[in-house]
Amino acid sequence: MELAVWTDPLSGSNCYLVGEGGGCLVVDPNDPEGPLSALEQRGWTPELVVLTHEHCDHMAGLEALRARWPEAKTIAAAACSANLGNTRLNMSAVMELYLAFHGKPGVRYPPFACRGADTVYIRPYTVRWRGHRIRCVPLPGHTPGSAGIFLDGETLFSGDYLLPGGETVLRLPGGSPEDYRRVTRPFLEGLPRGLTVWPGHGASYML
Amino acid sequence: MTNLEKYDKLFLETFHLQPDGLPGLKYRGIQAWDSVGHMDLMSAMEETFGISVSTPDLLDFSSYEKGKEILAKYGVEL
Repeated sequence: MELAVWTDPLSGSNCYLVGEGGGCLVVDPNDPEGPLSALEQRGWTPELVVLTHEHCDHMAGLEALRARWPEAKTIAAAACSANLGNTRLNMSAVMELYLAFHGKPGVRYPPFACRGADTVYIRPYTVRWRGHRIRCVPLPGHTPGSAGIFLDGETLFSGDYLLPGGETVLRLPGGSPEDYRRVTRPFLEGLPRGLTVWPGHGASYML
Repeated sequence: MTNLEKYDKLFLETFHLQPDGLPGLKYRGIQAWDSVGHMDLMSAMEETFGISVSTPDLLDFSSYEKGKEILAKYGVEL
């Protein structure tokens, strides 16, 4: 197994590519070009696409990836899947504003919608992929469709939770401090030491 | 509900304010109206009035009163 990271220079979001035997698990296809080029360069064929949440900076390349590899199946929390097509809840409607606030004024970022996932879940969902165990756990709060994606129980793709040095944002459209306090924070606080976290932004680290 | 009532409701619900907190309210005048709060307010406003506001106007939306002027440009009379 090999893990590659493609970081979007615009938003700083991470797309993770897990290669195994020529196939690939894609976590958060965040750009229409970068992750696709990285896949082509490695000769990997995406088989599963897993989303940590519905925000545009984590799935802006989903439709491009589907167009190039129609066989790839997308897995997402049910709320994430539903919100992919909503430009308010996927944040693409205000992404130019976000970028302006983060020192990148004047960047064109037209709002866009994506089709829903092929497989959705409302409770923890486990799928086997090329001998690996992928467990998707709904973790609402940052968005209604946020999830933690565990790979073999050793690795967590945490999306916009557990960002290194960063505060969890709960006030964007669809965010819920109540859900975070009730469901997600207790879960995150109970994670085992030694787990490797690959966050949606920033570098990986060990808990 | 009138457009003004809808407009006020956006602020009241986004920032958990009482109606007497609206006049004179400015961006960064309260803790909740920071950049994150602004994105939440702007996206809710676009959805409420069914309009798409340009990014320069979203950035120029700096107060409760200024927002009324901007909405008028998009045909929303308050």
